Amino acid sequence: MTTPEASTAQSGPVPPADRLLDVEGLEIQFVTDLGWTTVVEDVSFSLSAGETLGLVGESGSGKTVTSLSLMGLIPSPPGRVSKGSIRLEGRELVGMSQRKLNAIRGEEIAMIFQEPMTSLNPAFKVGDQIAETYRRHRRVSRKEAARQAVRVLDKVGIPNAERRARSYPHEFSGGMRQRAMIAMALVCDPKVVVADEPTTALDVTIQAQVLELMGWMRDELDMALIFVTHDLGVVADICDRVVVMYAGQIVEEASIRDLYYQPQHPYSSALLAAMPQQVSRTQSTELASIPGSPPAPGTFPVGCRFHPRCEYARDKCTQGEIGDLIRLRELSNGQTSRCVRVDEIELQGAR
Amino acid sequence: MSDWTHSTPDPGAGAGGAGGPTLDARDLRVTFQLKRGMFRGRVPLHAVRSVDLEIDAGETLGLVGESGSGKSTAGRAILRLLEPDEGSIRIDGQEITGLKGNELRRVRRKMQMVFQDPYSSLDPSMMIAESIGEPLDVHEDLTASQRRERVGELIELVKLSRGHLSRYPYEFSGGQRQRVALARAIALNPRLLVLDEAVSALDVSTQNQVINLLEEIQQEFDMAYLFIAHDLSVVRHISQRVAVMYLGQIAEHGPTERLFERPGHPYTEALLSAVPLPDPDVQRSRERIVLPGDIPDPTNPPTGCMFHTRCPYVMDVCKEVEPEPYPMQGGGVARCHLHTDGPKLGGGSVRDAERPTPSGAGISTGF
Repeated sequence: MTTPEASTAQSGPVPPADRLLDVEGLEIQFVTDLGWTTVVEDVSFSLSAGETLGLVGESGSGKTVTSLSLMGLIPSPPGRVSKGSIRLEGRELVGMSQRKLNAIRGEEIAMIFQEPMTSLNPAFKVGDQIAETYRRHRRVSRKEAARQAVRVLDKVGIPNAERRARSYPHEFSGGMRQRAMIAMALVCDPKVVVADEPTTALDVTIQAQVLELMGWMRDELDMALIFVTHDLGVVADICDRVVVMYAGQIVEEASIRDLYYQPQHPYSSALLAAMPQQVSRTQSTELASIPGSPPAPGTFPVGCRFHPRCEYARDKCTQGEIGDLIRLRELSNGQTSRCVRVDEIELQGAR
Repeated sequence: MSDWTHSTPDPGAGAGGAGGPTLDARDLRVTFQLKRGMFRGRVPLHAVRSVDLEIDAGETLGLVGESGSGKSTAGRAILRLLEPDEGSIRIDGQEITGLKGNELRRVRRKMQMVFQDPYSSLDPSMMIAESIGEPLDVHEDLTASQRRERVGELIELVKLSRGHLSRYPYEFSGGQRQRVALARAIALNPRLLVLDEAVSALDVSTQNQVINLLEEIQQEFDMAYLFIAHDLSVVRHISQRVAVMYLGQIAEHGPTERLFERPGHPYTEALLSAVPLPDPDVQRSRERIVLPGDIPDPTNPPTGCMFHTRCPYVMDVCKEVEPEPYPMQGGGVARCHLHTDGPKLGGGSVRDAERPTPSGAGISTGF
């Protein structure tokens, strides 16, 4: 990560005591043939203790890059955090040394990835890998670390945890691997867990198990979760608040019910309308779809980035307000929307 | 094995084709011989065990199940991309098992497949026009101008423009590539399309464009679709009938609305309850049935009913006796003892049965 250019002199209101994570004006760039290309821009959100925040968007929306930046995991080169700040309980993570970041990662903020096979090392026993994570942060004996690994495997519902800790990842089924990875994230009792599409590669029956497990983490361990996903069903199940991303920007932030029942951005509304809703062909004729496809970084339209696909677009949507950007509007109920016409249009929700 | 599709007058079935269904697969069986260890020899894995599938022209049959259920294997066996060990496959009445060489090649043009990943199913070094035209080169004897005309027609059928023909796959988005794959698949006017997770890799906003296109093309050419997918919401939308597979068998099948509203098999009920609905109030107030564990090892399937190890309603009989397909009220069949034993549902929905509360609570019920 590189040092932030802006926001070092961040003033403004002091965050409430239970505020764990504060992301402010985040901008992330990657090097391409054309020089630095901005993939995430003007992203601000916060997370409180015990809260589950959904980070929703399609592929290319910048949701995964944003989640990686929270862990200081933007590969550099080719990437960098070019602006903004990420504060974990007041400490600035942007520009922090790798050594300090290593102490925080896994201990205070942990991540769960989509594909457990890529984050578990196939050559080591599952229990040993979890124990290693523990020993990295706590000065304990190997024996104590192994005991902790079994404890946490048992906690996430792995049967015969003591025996299974001695298994290799390939001896686990897909669902069990995902549990093992969650166990690894939990072993140091982090305050914040970032889960990037943790159920996307799983079958629905296993997804149901993992969602139960994550709900339990939130309720029983009082953990703050950031759930990165494209699945609006999963979000409806588990999240308290949602940030919707499109083309590298937040287009809407809302409480879960506000987003689903009174969306304030045409993109959110169009996404909700596009969910098949388990309605059969005999009941509905055509599925609602959004014309075209999301723009790639470097080709973002000027003004509202959704305007070429938006049915409500007018001339004013094609012009920027701050440079090329549209500003995020604060609405009355804590909801935000990056739509110029938010006061003029009536949008449909999930029902 | 009962011939279920004949005994059940499903709505929509039999409406299309003049003489019989487009696809009629009976008692299909596929076994893989797995190598286990160095000296222990081979273990048979019955990936598909006695599956019957019938699809009429213009009809879509959804085939759902978890990974490892055998749904993709069944789809590939029907196209003879995999050799079934047993069973009969008829396309428009013609038996295709046992066909070889030229005969097989001739029948291949009647059936095509669209795969999940549009990034790997198109040759990256081929121009789109070549990719779409390749099946024409193999099967038809067209002049250069006829070929150009046909390829142009095809690209327009999938709502892309002729200008796209001289481009390469990397210039297209996932949804556009899947359109190209579809244009290629329909180049020879097939009677049957097997769509294996064809829209699963696409984003929500583009997925529906492809689904709508699939429906349009089906109506225009009266094709039969075997729509293999794990996403039950999409399956519900696109299919007239749905079959649910578990460990190589069809656990339940029937008309879509009946199956979704009145599931007759506990596995179907659990699958439906596991899909999170995009409506927080509805989703948080409905009951989710969390099945314990994973799908069992297919080389060593459970005795009796194959679902009994995970079934919330399991009875003693389920552990010993394999259930026969039982006809469902409203069409289709379910392979479950609950219809003849215990609550004796007699073809009603398993939702009417009282579900025993699982022992142990919370998180440990996962396994």
